Amino acid sequence: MGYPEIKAFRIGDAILVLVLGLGTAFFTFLNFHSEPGSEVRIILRDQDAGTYSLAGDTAIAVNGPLGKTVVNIGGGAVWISSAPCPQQICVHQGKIRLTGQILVCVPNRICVEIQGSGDRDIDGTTM
Amino acid sequence: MKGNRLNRKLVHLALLAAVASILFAVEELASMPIPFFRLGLANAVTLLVLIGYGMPEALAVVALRVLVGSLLVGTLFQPNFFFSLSGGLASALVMGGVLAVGARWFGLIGISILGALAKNSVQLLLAYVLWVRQSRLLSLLPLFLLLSIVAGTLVGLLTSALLKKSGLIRFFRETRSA
Repeated sequence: MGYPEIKAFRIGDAILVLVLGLGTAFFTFLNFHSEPGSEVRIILRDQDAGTYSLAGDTAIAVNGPLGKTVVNIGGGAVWISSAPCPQQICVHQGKIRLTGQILVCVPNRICVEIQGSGDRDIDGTTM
Repeated sequence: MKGNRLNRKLVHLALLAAVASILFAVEELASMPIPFFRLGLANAVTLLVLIGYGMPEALAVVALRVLVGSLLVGTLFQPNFFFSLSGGLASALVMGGVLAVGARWFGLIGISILGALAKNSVQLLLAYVLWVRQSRLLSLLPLFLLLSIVAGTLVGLLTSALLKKSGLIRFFRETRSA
């Protein structure tokens, strides 16, 4: 009726994929410096909950609204080993080690990010 | 005659909503390799309803799908429920809009990519506004763009296969012109 013939593929699709692909590449380039980071910053409820060195071996217990989330640092990487949230997405995110990468536990309102040594701190401002 | 046609439409929409609910529930339960990543197979059903009936029907099927699917999985009225609902509705609105104005330029693949993009953007925005007001959350954007392309392409191909193989196109035409 109202629509022109519906096809699986039209020229706009190719242009769309191309534009999105370029966008992905651009944002990736912009966001990740792809260098190993040096510091771990933990943010709880929009607020800074401490910065730790990425060099050591530590386990940090962070108390969010749901309970205790355990953030581990070791071997130059950060990961969340246990969390009280139902879906455990943050645990499944695994280890991160590069500047700009983040671990997020949305239900427990915890965000863990890796910073470089000479990182400009503008991005750290809370809204 | 008129009542008969209405019955047929209701049954058809109910069946599509049931299929969408199952797809939705299965995807909720299956743990995907990448966090946040869902193929959005139920979106194929949304697209079918948009093509066959229109926007109001598609929105209704999305709402039913999220309601019934969440009930099956046990996430009803949990945060996930609202994420799925807003994402599904946004996706339906965008796909319907593109179908109405841009079907000359975009095929099913492009339309479902745009739908996946709408869903992901709305959910990311919701997470940002509601919970983690960290600009760093937006660094997930490239990942979401990439996932939208992959998921949208697969769903578009699926929808096209469903339309062709099942004779749904003919069915829709009959329904519309009857």
